[in-house]
Amino acid sequence: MTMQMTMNRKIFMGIMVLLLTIIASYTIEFTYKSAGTKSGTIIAITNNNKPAAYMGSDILKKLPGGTKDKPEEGPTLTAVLVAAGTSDFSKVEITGVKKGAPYVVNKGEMSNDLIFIYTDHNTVNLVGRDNQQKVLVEDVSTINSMS
Amino acid sequence: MDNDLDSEKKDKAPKEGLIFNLGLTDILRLTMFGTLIAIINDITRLPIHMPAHTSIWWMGLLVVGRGLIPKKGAGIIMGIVSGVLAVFLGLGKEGVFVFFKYFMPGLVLDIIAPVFSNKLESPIIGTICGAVASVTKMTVALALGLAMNLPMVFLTLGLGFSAISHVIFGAIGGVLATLLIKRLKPRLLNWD
Repeated sequence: MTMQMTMNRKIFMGIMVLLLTIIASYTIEFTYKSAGTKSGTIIAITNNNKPAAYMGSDILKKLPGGTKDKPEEGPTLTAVLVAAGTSDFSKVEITGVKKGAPYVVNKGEMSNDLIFIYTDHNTVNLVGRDNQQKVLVEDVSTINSMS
Repeated sequence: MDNDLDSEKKDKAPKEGLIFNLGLTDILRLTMFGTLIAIINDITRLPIHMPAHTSIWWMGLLVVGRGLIPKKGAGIIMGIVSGVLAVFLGLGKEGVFVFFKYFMPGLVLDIIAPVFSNKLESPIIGTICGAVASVTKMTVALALGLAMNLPMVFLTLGLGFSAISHVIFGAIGGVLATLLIKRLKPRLLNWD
């Protein structure tokens, strides 16, 4: 009887370990995602406000863009949208961490002049290629394409 | 007559003490299971587009091996053999570190099976052992990703779903293993 109870307790403990692992995994994921989107270290790319992809500056660095002369330059806005699988849209809204009015780019205005540049705190800013001093969106947190 | 029987018994008795007190025959059998794990992982392409579906046969074979040869070190031997083969076959994207992904589930199985008195033929215990071994594989993959400086977004987003998937497929592997152990064990009494 005691042996059986001990075995039942061990089985219960085993199931609890598995449940705790699942809960811990979701907690790590949720914490990292919410902290990252708040600070701008993770950019949420959405399609009509539905999540399409999440990218960090470490992923943006793997996309084509930038030159050896200008390592601070990242990929173009178009390249990021293509990498996220977003191609069918009429306009794109880019929002920063400070949650001001979004910077809106219509499909006709899309060009390779809009690029991301890396900051020293692991985020990216949206700037024009020719005038990088003027930051269009600081610490980008969301890129929402609207159809 | 008695002497003949004694000498026959001695001949049939397992030769202990090679590695982890396992006889040569056991090591050869465990090597077979380890090889099967690596080879099946290499050649099988199931159209299940979910993470960890390989745990069905991966953890299944581990649990079968540990269930049929319920001795200390059985999981470690299977883990070492499959890990070394995985490195040589170029499985995974972790390079030589893929060894740990194969080795650790075997090690963990060696630790948890005695906790459950090695009763891996019980469906509930087989399920738990398969699931725990599968989750171990996920944890090692995460640790290797961190060690190799992979982007955190890749590692953390979808981690919850991946954990559930690992538990489910590992549990399926464990259940299938218990069925095999139940069928095979009575037929393998004269293995030694």
